[in-house]
Amino acid sequence: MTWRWVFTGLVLLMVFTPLAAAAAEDAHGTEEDKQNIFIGDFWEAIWTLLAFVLLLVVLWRFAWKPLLGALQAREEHIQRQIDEAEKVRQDAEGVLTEYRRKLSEAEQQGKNIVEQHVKQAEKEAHGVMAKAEQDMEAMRIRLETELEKSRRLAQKELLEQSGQIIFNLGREILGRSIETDDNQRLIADAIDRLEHEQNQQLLDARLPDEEAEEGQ
Amino acid sequence: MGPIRPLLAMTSPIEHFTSKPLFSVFGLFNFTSHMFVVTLATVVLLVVMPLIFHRRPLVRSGFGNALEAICLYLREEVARPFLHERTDKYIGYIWTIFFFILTMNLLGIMPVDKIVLLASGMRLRHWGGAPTANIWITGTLAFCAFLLFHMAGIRENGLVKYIQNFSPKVPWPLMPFMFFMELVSSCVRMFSLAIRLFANIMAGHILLAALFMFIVIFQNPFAATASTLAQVVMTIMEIFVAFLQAYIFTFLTTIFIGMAVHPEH
Repeated sequence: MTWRWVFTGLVLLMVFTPLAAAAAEDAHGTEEDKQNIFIGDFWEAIWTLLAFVLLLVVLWRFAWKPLLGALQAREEHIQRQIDEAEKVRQDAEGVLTEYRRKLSEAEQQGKNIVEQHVKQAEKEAHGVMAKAEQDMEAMRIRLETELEKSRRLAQKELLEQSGQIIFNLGREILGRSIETDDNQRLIADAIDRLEHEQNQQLLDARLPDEEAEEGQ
Repeated sequence: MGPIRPLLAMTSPIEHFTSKPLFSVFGLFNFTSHMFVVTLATVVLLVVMPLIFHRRPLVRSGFGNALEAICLYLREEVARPFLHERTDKYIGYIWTIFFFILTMNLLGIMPVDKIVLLASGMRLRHWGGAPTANIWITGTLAFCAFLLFHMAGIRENGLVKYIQNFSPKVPWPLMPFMFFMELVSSCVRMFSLAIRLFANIMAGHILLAALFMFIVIFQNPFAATASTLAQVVMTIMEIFVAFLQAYIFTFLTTIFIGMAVHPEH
């Protein structure tokens, strides 16, 4: 291809040669050439053309071709790196999306687990509270019962001791002793009467509460 | 001023960079100073570029890295916006023309003739100059660009379609006129490329010579100091212009190629 260009150039040069030669004759004709800024020679044009064509052909083969090859190789290398970087970026984006999704899922799962555990803990806490209340209620009832028992026992003992004191006082004051059986009977009667009164008081105390509950 | 007049009359501000015959080649033509610099630039590029670019490391360093940065800039920022997928097809030409013009511009700034003169024991005179301040040389480069963008247009679009594209879609009575205008425009591009590079480089060298003349004219230390400082500054600017003009020539060539291969744009 280069030789075709060279050939065409030379043909055109041959066409222009007569014109330029005539001009060269004029340019070099006189002594005034020393002051002529257009001084020159057609052979200089030919020489320049040959030098330029030689330069073009040799540099194209030994300089520009390797340079273009190097530049193209570098461009390909850079393009390949850019493509690879783009691919890696896309992969990384995919992985990042996947990780974000997983992270989101894990967060949701974590929240669910926490909520579940909180609910369970609340439920267990409620159970524990209810059981504690039940235990406390049972203990309270047991203590109340025991207290009532103790109170009755103490009351009974008080009555027995009171009877014994009255018996002793009566013997001292009346100078005679009431028969033990009588004494015991009197004490038993007093206790019965006391118990009866207490029961009556308990009944009286419960009745208003029951009426109130029935009313509700 | 009296004794200096003959000296000034003999000295031309263009003489230090214009083409001078050095020797005859078989009596056929004269080998000129500009031919020598063109050859020198070609040899430098033929040696340096393959040496630097024949290896293909992933990352270059030093001077190779700087050259590669320039090549990469020309490829990605100059050529690709105009040539798109055809960039690599024409990038070799674009790189070659840029470095060829740049090397010739820089050799034009360097005192190659003085170096050769010293190296040859004061025997070889005028072996230097600024080839890009020679309209024949810039014209040749512009002619190459002209050939390239027409050939690229024909190659990419076919001859008939390419010629058809010379006339934009206008009412038919205007078509011949537009066709002629486009034809002239495509030739004018070649001349504009040649004259821009030639005029800019030549103007820089004339300016440097004129600054140097002040030392001869005024002949005092202040004028010499001021002139030398101004020459240093202007030489630095000329180095910048060397790069700039090489870039502009390359950029415009790329645009013309782009216009030829993508006429729809």
